[in-house]
Amino acid sequence: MINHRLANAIKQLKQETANAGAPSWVEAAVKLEFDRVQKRERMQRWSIAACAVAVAVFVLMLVPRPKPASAPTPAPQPNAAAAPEQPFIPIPYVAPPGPYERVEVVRMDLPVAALLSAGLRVETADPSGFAQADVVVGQDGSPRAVRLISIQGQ
Amino acid sequence: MAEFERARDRGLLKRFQAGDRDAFHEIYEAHQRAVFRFACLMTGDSIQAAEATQDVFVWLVHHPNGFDPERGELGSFLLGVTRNVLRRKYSEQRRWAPLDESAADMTSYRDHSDRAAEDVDRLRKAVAALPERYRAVVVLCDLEEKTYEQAAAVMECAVGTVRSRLHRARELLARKLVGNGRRCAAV
Repeated sequence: MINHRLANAIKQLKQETANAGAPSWVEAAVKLEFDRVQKRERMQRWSIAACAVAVAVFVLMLVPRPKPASAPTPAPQPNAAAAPEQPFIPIPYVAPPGPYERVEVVRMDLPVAALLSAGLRVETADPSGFAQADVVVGQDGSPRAVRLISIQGQ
Repeated sequence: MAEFERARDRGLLKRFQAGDRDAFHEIYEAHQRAVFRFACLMTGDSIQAAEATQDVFVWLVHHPNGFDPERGELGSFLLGVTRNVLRRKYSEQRRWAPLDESAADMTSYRDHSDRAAEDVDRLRKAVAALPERYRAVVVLCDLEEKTYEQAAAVMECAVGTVRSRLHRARELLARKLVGNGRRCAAV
């Protein structure tokens, strides 16, 4: 009898609450939080990208600047003929030259470590050595692309 | 059906983890009723239940990878989160909010004209007055029609424990229903 009453009461309570749902303000609050979190994550992603660009620029600033065009570093060119067809590799996180920008190609000796930290692939066992490379220099004097000629100090 | 829901939840979860707002909305629509009902029956208070529902989904927003689809159903997982949210709230509030007052909230508008309605009111109060471990099992198994396995997943205990607690809880409720409420509340 008691169990029957309990079963009936449970059944009725189940029916009463069957269609219960959270009020609309809950949905609004939850969605607001979702948007807020998404916005924060987007901001974090952009911050990380901006930091990466800043680090890359900083590294490139450490790379030795080419001397004026009138007196470029007279680098020996023993291997120039060996790999003349190597393509220029754009330096990461640096805007490419504009369509009408005048650029110069300067051959110079660069620390391998600087090339590595700029994100370029240099196959050498000794990162403390130097590499001979052709560097595309923009009108503002900043490097845009690099073509590796040879690695010294191996 | 369960397989269909599981596959649906898995797809939605992937999209939600990738930041898809529509997927989150669909997850909310699919599970908010169960979460709210569970919270409502556990607390006996629709306002507290709404707040708990909000806390659960806000938690999900902040922990999109908190649920592993290989380990169970999203619905059961969310009810487990709800239970933890309610436990925390209860431990924060028990110092100053007597349970009977909150239980009265949902019953105030009810018509006591017939015995069945009176039984439902008594049951509601009795459920709200049960110790939490018994309350959860009654709400899950008897009112939410979860299987013992699902209830065990929500309560993070063995299926045998669910069975024994449910048996004990039904005894307490039956006693409460015939007017031995004081003895039940003291358990």
